[in-house]
Amino acid sequence: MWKQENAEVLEVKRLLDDVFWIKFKAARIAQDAAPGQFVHVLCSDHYSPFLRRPFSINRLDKDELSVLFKVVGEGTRLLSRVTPGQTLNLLGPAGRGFPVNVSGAHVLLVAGGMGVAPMPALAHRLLAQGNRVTAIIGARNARYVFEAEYMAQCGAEVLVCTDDGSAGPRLTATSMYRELRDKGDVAYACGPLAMLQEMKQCAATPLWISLETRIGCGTGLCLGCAQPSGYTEDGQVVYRKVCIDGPVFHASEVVLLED
Amino acid sequence: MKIDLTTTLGPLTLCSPVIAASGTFGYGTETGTEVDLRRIGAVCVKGLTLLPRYGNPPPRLIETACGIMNSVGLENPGIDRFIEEILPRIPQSLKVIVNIAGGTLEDYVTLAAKVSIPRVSALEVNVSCPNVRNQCLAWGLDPTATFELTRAVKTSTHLPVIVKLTPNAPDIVEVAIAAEEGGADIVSLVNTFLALSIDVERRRPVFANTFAGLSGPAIMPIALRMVWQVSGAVSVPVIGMGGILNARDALQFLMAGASAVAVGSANLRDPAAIPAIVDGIEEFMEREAISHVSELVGAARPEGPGNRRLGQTKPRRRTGYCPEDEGADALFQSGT
Repeated sequence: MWKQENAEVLEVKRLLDDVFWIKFKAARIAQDAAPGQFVHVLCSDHYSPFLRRPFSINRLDKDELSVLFKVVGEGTRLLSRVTPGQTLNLLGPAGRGFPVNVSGAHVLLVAGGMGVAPMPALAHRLLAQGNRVTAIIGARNARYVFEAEYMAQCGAEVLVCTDDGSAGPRLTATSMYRELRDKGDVAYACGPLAMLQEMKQCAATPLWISLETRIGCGTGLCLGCAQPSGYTEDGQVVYRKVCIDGPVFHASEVVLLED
Repeated sequence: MKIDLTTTLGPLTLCSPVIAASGTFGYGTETGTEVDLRRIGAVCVKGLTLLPRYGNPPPRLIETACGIMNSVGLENPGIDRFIEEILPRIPQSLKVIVNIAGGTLEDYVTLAAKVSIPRVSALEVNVSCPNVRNQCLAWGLDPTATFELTRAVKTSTHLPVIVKLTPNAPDIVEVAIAAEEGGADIVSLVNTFLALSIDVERRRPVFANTFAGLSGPAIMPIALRMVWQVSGAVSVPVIGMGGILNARDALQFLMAGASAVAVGSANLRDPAAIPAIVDGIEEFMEREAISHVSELVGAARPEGPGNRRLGQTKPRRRTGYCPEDEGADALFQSGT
């Protein structure tokens, strides 16, 4: 169950012009959190933007958790300006995370762009439970590769690829996954919808995906974050809610793009 | 000083004057132990229909300047599943108001009969949902239709009947009077304002249904004006809502003449918004040496608080007037 907590900002790192990493002290949330869950952050005291902003939990360490994000709008712009010592109201851990009750398996993690955000906490947990972890990180170029070192330090085998070949081979995360898909027992992915759709079509093992979408309340109250999940007998679309049913879904549970 | 928040709305008694508005607090089961439900007067559950509805395609919710627009489309499990599976899970400490929405008069009558069970404290007749392609909103736009519908619902339930009014009606006062004449025990207002957003890159409306409902602080002053007008024109208690964020906003609605308020959009930002608002009302009452919340009701009106209960004649209009005259009349009555 989620909680609300006024969390102290411990550290803010500007990784690129528009990419930030923030570490919070949020004991109540961090202690209960699982990889793949999110925190819903109140970015403004002044009702503008009106709603919270959801961020995958990036790293987890006892009483602390971090978020990794790109500035895309007013909420993230305000969040990028916080300074250590400030407190922000967080709601979390929210949603359903990745299934982490596995051990002795070879797990493939596949991240596209900012989809790398939830992978460090996930890799850390899976490795602690005696799994072998191979993390594929696909990015636009070398500058946009994040968390590769951290995950390598945790003990994951990290494979980087970029659109322009400035780091690793000139490949997309999906094409690299295609080459390795038979080697893993299960795959966990996060990234753009088109990437997830392609992976879903070629997956050779169970595939779990984390969806990024606009979320309203984050607690299942508003029914705003509807994701098509199938059809009724008479052809009506049935929806699941990303905030409480996800953000992590088994690939078969959701319809991503119209085929 | 002992502060009494007990709120009486005709046949309905609540422990606090703040209600969770329909569609913004789920079924009262979503917040677990994280929100102190004992501070909430009642939860008005998400609108229910006879059959399950799967709702509108995304996007369903966007932010605007100081507000939100939604087009959820009355997604709900249907009345039967609600009664069998969800209602028993709602914490006993929380009073339940069931919001019903339909297309035909028969839909509403059947729904009203089905939810007339002990666990339900009142019925809110939704004649104002702007996001479904049936007749729901049409009922609330027209005084005669609202009158007929209210009368029909009243005959099929023993529960207190609340009629939820739409600000999209040409004259909401006229519709409120029609609801009262139809037998409504309480009226609640306002539902969302019909609004539009356009995606300039796609050159298309953002929402699949073109229009969507605007709520939040952006609409509060207009909602407050309507609550003032309706409170001056009907004798039944009024539940005021529209963009309430904090205790000061809630106090304004009470002082405008609402006997209770409902909080909607604010729950989506902070699920614990209502207990905080109730605390704020209590603090205000303590500071102002007000012992009972009813003393606040209508406090800003020229006729003053409590006067209406002493049997003063209220300005009163009947349905059937020329709409132009009605509009002007309503403005004069507001005392502006």
